[in-house]
Amino acid sequence: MKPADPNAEAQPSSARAPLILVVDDFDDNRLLYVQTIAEAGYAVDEATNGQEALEKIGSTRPAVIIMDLSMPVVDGWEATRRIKADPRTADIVIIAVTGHATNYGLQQARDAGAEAVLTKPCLPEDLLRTISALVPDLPERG
Amino acid sequence: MALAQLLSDKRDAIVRRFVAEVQTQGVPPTGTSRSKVVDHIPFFLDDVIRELRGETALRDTQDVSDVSATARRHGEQRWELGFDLDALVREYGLLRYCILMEAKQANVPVSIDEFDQLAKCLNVGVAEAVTAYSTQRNAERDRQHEDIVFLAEAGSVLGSSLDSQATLTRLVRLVIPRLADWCAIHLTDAALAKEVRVAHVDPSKTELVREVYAQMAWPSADAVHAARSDAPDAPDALGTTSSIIVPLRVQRATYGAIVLAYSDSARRHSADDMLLAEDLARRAAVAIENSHLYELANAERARVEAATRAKDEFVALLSHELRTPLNAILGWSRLVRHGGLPADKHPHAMEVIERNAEAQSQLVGDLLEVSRVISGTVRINPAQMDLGEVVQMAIEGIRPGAEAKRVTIEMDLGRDSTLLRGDADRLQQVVWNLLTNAVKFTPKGGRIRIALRRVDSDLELVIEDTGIGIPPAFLPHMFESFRQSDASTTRTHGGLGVGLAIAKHLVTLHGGTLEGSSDGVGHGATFTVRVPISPLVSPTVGVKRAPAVRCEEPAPLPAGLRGVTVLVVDDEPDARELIQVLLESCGIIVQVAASAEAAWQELERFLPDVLISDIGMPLEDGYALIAKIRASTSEELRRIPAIALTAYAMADDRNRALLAGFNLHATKPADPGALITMVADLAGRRAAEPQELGNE
Repeated sequence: MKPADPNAEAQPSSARAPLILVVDDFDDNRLLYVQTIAEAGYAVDEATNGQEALEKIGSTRPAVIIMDLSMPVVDGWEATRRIKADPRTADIVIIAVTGHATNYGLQQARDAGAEAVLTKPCLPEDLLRTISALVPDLPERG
Repeated sequence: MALAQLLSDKRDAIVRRFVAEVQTQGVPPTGTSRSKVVDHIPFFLDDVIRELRGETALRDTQDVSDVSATARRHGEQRWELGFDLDALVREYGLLRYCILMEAKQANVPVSIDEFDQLAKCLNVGVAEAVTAYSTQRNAERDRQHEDIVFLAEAGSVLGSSLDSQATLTRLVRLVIPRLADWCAIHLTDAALAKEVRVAHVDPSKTELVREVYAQMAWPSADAVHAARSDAPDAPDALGTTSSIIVPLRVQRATYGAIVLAYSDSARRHSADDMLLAEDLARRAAVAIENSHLYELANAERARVEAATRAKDEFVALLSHELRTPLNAILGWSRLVRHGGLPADKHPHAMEVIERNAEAQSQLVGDLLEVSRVISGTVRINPAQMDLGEVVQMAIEGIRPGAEAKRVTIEMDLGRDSTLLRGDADRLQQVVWNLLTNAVKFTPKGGRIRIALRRVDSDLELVIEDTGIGIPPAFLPHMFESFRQSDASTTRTHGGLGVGLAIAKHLVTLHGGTLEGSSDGVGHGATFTVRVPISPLVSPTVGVKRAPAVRCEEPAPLPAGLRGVTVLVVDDEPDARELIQVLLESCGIIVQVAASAEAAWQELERFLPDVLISDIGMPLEDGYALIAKIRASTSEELRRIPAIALTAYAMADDRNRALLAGFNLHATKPADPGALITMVADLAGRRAAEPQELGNE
């Protein structure tokens, strides 16, 4: 279990909870998952593309990343590859969520190193179930 | 000396007897002339006479005597004439017989000694002739063997590559030095070889070959049907002594010709060389054809693979574009219903859901539209219309989106009349596509300028933006379906890439033009629509037409339908309920049926003013239901006005519904205002006539 960042400006209840980073360029979907994850009691942060995510994880050290794939600047496949290639960040659990529901697109995400690949539409409860299945010791309510 | 004298006196008689004898016995191959049969026999007899007279010494070493030399030439000649070896041996037996017969007839006694000497000469003769014959035969066999080895090697060398360039390079290497000191290959198909291939046994003379070959007047490859000798008229710089030209042919296809020439080795091409060259050329032509076919097959495969890849990419894109809004719709709906979303966030959730549903609806509409464009089934219904009005409404439609991005809209609709004859809905679509593109591709704080003016007999609409522009390489493709300048996975802008293709098609159907230009990436884009004004337009008659604008505020539902009765038939409970709620909100009395069978039963007790029926239903579909109604014995039932309400949105579906007996056809998702208007029309009451607006 990763210790929470003591400098994080988070509510006291979620300060102990590890961070989940939601990366999606489409506001409606990113906010949907931010809302869902916050409701579930996890500390949550967001990024609008792969580049922003890569810049953030150096300081915020998330435990889990919810990663959209088709995004500007650096796409989700590339961001996942880079995170998994760096020993300092390779242990971050990556859940790819994508509308690229073709076998090729899904396989590419698995090949990049994502622990799970979910197809959009992915309902909030399915996302939460996947998070708790992959990271069972993550406290669901802070 | 008696025998020597006899041979000398009777030489010609012996030869005559010999010829008659060998011909009677069928020794020479048929068709051999008498002189050929005679050959060296008289000289051989002269040699024997000299032996008998002791004028030469017949030694054990056979190759020095005249007898030996003459017999050897005879053996070689017999080989060339195609005699069997057996026949050659028999000739010496017959010669001996003829000599003895002549002696007998002339009563010349032959001594044992003379007989021995004659036998010795004949034995030496037959041995020498056979040796010479065999030497020739073996040399020929060696040559044939070499040619077979050569052809086998050629076959494997030519067959080892499917690349036509490599095949030609190998071919020129093969023919030198066996068939040529220098050669040139000329192919008729420029796609196979850009230039004449040349080679010389001495590589330093290769360029000279090219020069000499270029100056020669060779017959064209098509005119050469078999190998033929083409002796040079005048000495050339290469010192050519003999040259042949051989076509590279496979069945009736001629790929070119190869010129084979001897120069440095001063050889001449023999008949065997010609045959060998032809054989080689045939194999080379097959190899060239194979590589040609292989290259064609490769090109075809690459084309098919590219098409498959494009299809796969489109399916992936479509999946992504449809699932992205769907995710937001389903996810936010779920948050509202189960997620404990705070109540103050509900309006936001509803706004997200509606916006994404609209976006998805637009995608589906575009997909159908582009499929109509591709199949060429788009129809326009021209009527007098005001393009200025259409443009203005479209601008109002995009204004909220533009304002959200702080994009300034400048418009100059001028003072010219903007009436023309066209399909207002379709031109609305064109303007809408161009304007939404402009907003989509213009970054925050940018500017869009719209100008409408009359140019000659056209109306010209120019839409200019300060957006991301278009890369020059993409300009020729921008009106193709499913094309976007950025199709990568890191693209910033979504969409299917069909908007411009649809717009261009619709403008073309109006007899107009749509052109786009851009000074490159980051320099904005300008689109110019020109639509001709039909002379039929009368400028005094203004037409107030209000085409539906997407994203507009929902029109107030018409009242005055209170008491109208409608039967709604749909197997899908949600769809049925949606229509029911919508109709009841206008005071309409609604009955519902979940199947065609249930509807039929309902119609026995309840005769509605209007029937609204789904088409795709289990067991009995909407077509069957309307057919049954229209064929009913009850006139009242037969005359019920009916609306087909269906997700089958293609023109064919509409025609089929109308042919089956429906009066009107509406597509799902139903536009509430349009559906109410249809019901009002069919119920015989104008929706526009305001009656009581309040509820009871």
